[in-house]
Amino acid sequence: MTTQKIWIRAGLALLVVSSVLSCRKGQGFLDPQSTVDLNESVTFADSAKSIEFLTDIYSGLSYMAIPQEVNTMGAPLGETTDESDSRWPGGHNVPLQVIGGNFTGNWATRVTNDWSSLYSRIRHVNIFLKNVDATPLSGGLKSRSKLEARFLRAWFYHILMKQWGGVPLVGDTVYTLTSANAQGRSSYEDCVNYLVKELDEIAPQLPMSYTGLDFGRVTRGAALALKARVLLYAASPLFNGGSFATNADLVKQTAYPTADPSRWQKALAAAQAVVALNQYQLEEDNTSRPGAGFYRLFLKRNNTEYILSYMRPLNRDIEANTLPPSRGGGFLQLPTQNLVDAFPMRDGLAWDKSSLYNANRPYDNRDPRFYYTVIYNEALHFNQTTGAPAPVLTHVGAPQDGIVAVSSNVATNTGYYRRKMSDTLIAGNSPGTTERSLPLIRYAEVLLNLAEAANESGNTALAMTTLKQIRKRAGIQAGTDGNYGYPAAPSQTAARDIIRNERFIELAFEEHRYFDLRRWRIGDQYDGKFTIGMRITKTGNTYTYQRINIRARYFKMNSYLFPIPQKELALNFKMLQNPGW
Amino acid sequence: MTMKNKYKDGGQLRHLVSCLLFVLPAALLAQSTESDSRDTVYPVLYRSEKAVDKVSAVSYINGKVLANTPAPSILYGLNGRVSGLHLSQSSGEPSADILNLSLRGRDPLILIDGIPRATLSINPEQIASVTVLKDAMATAMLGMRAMNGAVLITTRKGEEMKEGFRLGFKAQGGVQAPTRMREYLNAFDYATLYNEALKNDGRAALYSPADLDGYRTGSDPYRYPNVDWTKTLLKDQAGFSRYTLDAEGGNRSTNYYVTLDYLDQGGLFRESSENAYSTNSTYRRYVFRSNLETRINSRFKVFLNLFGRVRTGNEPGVGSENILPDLNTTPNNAYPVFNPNKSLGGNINYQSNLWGESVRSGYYQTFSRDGFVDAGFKGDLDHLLKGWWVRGTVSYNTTLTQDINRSKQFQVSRMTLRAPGDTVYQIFGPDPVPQQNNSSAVTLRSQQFYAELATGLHRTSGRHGRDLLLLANTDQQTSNAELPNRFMNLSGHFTYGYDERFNWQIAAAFSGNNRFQEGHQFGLFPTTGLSWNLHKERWASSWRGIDEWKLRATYGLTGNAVPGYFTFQRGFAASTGYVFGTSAGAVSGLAEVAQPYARTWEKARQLNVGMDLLFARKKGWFTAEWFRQDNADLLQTRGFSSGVMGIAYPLENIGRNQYSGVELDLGWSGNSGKWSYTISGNFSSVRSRVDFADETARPYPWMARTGFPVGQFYGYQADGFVSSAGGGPVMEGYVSQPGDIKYKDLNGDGVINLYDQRTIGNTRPFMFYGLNLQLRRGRFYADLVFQGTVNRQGMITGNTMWEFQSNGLGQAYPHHLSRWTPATAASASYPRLSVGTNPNNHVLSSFWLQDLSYLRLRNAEIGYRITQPAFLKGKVREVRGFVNGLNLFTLSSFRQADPETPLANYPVQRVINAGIALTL
Repeated sequence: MTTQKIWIRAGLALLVVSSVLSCRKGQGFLDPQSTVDLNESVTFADSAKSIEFLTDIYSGLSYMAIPQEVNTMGAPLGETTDESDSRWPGGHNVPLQVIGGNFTGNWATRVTNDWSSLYSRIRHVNIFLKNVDATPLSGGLKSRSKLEARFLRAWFYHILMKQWGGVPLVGDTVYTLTSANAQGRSSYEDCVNYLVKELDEIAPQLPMSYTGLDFGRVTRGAALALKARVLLYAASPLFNGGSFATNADLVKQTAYPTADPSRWQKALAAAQAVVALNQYQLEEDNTSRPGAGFYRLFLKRNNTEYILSYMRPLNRDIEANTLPPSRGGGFLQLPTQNLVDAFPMRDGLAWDKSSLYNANRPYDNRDPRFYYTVIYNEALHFNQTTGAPAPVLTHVGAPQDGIVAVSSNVATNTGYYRRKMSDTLIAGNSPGTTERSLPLIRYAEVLLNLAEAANESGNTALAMTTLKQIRKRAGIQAGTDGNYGYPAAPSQTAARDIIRNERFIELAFEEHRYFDLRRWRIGDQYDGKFTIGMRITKTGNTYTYQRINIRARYFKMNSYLFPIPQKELALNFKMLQNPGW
Repeated sequence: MTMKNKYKDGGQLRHLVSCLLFVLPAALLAQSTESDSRDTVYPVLYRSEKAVDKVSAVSYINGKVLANTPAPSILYGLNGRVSGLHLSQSSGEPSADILNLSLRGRDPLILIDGIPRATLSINPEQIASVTVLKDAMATAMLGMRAMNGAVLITTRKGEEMKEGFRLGFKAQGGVQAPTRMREYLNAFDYATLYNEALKNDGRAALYSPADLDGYRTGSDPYRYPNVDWTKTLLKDQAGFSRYTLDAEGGNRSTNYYVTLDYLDQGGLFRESSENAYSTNSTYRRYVFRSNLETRINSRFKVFLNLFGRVRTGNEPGVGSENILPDLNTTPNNAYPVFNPNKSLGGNINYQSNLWGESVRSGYYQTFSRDGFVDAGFKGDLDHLLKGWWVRGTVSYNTTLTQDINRSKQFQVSRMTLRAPGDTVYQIFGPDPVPQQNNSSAVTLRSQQFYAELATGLHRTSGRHGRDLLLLANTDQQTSNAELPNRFMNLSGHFTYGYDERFNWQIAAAFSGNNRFQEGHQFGLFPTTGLSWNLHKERWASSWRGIDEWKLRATYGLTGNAVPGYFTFQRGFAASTGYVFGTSAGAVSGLAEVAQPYARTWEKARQLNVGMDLLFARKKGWFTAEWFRQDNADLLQTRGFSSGVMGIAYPLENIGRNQYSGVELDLGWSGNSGKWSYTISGNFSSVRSRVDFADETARPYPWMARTGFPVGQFYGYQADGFVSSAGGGPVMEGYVSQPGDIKYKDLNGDGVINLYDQRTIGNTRPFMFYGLNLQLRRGRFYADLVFQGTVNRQGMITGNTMWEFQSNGLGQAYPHHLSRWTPATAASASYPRLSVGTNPNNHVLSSFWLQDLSYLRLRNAEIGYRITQPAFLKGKVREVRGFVNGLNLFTLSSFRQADPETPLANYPVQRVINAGIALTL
């Protein structure tokens, strides 16, 4: 045997053995490598999986819907306004950073995360739209789910626009790693036009309502109501020629460059279109108890007023987050005296104008909505320990729930707790749950949008008529003049204040206040002003009431819009930063 | 401005002096060296090598020295003994004291008996040697696992000996104590500073003068608690013991090594007599190994190596990893340990109790079982072809980890005094308290199957030596439900030696991994090297003093497979879903979770140039290495990664960097009178440079990251303290108070934002060194290892550095006493205090960068050895008594915690240990 032959044999033997090692059945090196069955093509080749993909996009409606922890996404920005205050002492929680004017740390993180997670939802919509035609879904389901996806995309854009103004519009594009996406922001006008066009296209094709298992999907009303909200924002002072920018490009990206009052008419028409559907009405029940309709509204999953809601499993989200310590709650979102003062008396007149007001019993005879929005001293709420409703005591020295200093973080620092949307028979530590969903758009908001747009369009009378529906449902006494405490014929200016106040109380804790103050361009009125709390001292059996300062609010030019995440600016010189940042 | 050198004391220096006083007498008594560090034949990858044939950069350590280190992980004993290899601990907790290895700045592959597996918590007696493979030539046959170097551990196989066998028994025990515990403020200082911080933030004080007085006097420990939680929860020291039995022997046909080892490592937690079970954090380990090799005929040998290990960990029910961090978030005044009614203290902000977590949360146990079986044959086929041999190995390794959860919950109570003598208790925690858990779960199942077939030829004819090795192996690792991770290599190695003067080696691996995309799974990795023994040249024969002098160089292409988990096809996964329907019914969701990307392996071109010198009749030796490693296709995220894309950018093979460095080893062995000694030192430096990081265009040059060391710190440059409210420059949008940190405004726009971030800290190469002293005189011997680092820095932030973190509920530390106040504005070493995270002060800046360099007496052993002791009537061959220690003292400018583990909650341990060893 020659050396050469042996080399060849040795090499062959090696190859044979190594191939045996690598090619055993089922374990071979080159066997199929699939890890899980899920990828884009598998997902959209399957009708159930395609629908699941759309379902996941729906879960993005959670954005800002639940007041959970303060430094996660969806932090209750109402805590940065005169609506409520934060329980936390630390300066790094998002609301406290906002009111302290400290726009770094978690606040910056939140801004960055919100930006990318909203674009992530938009990407998912575009992936869905790209693939849906090839799915085995039925024709009807295909076309309807496309409409739903497009609505959701508009919804996510409208949140981006509320926060940042004009943002990059990506259209139907699904970016890949290498596709150029170094675009700048689109103009505010283009963004509004895009949303209006999308919503106009999809609205007529969407169903009016759903039943059974499909309940909670996007309806025609939702598309029209979102359009009404987008146009209301577009007509509002901040965006209607109210940019603080000086750079001409940035002016266009943050607002319409010039003011045009006729935009209010578009907003009015859009709101009226929702009313004209004749699909919605306010939940009203003043017979079992005044304001009972307003209370039950938030406990009922299926009601006549919700146009779009964040659907929840059986839950006690609100009770666990906001009730006082004695009720097992996390006492987030402490209502301020400013909010309490905004509630009129039962006769519809402001507390300082009404004969019903008794300074020694300031919580008697209020607008019934007050009792379902705020827990005040001696307000009844279910107590898990005793198994029955019992008064919550917020006066100085009251065990557990008594008012404490702002830094203490063990109980309220304003003298109040949030009740809104809570079931008064459920505590944060009790086993009960409600079937509630959380409102994203409800009919009362549409009416308030309508009233505001009508008043700004010069039709104050229409505005007042609309408002009265809300007060009637609230359980406020109509009065002999049938005006529910409103002046008979207020001026446009007076009506503006009335509308803003009504919006404040009706939509409290629904994450409108923060954005309303901004779009009205009146935030600077709050700069340096303290929110007010109520310090109640008990002597014997009498209470004395003292208004106290809680925390001052920062509001400067840069508070009107969020900063574009610094990371985006660093990557992309075409991206312009919002004014004041 | 940094915080170093704030504490002045000579403590460490005193330690050093006393230590030297202790060591020197021992040195004078010693006589001859303990081990020969220059064995002439040592194992390298898949073969063994004679020193004269050395081409590549390898360091060889005799396994005997590893037993001098009282630590569970064998490699800990390498610290300071090997150039190029730096080891550090991340925690000192029993069973968790895992080592971080850094070989020339990279994370090496660990092989035991040639098989990739990192079972390092075993008894060191079973280790015959450790070879550190540093360059491309040494690791070439690992193919796409070669790039980061390797550590090759070889176990003892037993050898033919004239006595037939050797039986050893060793018993040792000692104590371990933290090298340094973090210190916290007492309740009075805490409350005082808290009020000051609130005032700084423009808020009302939380503690009244009466409260402060209560904390100062300690008059009412229930209302004004001042609990030293560290002392309450933890003992000063814990026990450590180990018992080893081993036997080896051999004759012409069979050789074997057997060992049995038991280790018991105590934890620091205090326990309570109220429990019938232990709640301490402890670790017990049983190791068994049997290596057996026997000849079945004149040509073939077969071997069977068995290894078994059982580990049992115990800890408090909530987990020590959860309790210890709570020390940083529980101020001394948070709550009393117990209330007057014997209930555990707590309140709405602290709805737990650290003592309760330690002793009333039940216990949690972890059982881990490992088993290895290596079997194979070695054959000599010389009769078929001169110099031909074959070898085959199969190995199966399995690990199973099981948790037993017997944790339970407990309540805490807050006492409120309504009127004198009238107290009410508010209860927090579950009500009613649920039953103790009693569950078990398997948390890890992993298997490894390894097979190897090798063959080769070894021939010498005249001056020409040829050695060929061809090898095929496959390594399949499966963990839990994942599909296997398979590596396959076809590799070869060829040496040609000429006249013992020149040695040329070439090696190549055709190497693949199944997790890469089909068609792109294999790569070829060639390497070559040459050495030249100058002392063998005729013209060198007249050199005096030089015994051996070798020059060598290697160059090769190596790979590093980081395939991820089938990243080319990932993308969609189930998500949370949504709840449609008039009655709530959950519908599952499905979402895109990651961008697919077809990865390839990382690559390196590695160059190593070295020199070995033996001089003064081989008493002295010197080795120098210089290396450069150009890495490419490194996984990183591309620079343009805009959130507008809507999904996280994947890791892509785009990065490039370069590591280079120098390693020096110098030693001397000698005798002086009755004592002999070996003194050796090593020095290593690692310089790294980012060559390509896909940076997007930066508006300012100082923002660039390319060209700086890998892992360089970036942040703001601290520039003293703000002197008046509103002063600056400070972070954009921040309203400054006096005493806030000012930063350098690099672009001069008046505010501090990302445009003002730059490299901070030093950019010098990381250096480390070791000094080893071995002494012997008669029956005495000593072995000392000093180890140190230079240019080691760390960003120390978070709740172990900053005050009142965790929403204002966190601890505060003695270094906060030297905070900025108007009175101490000139001398302050810490910014003004605030509650919670301060958006300006608590950002990554040079202020928080600490010098973590240290010099440590890493390891020391002193022993006394009696051979054939008369008092045992010749039945015992040798008796040896020894004392050894680990981390005996440390010099460092960083004082808040151990410099090696500045962020660890369970600090590195100092161990002092004594034992006795018998050889029969």
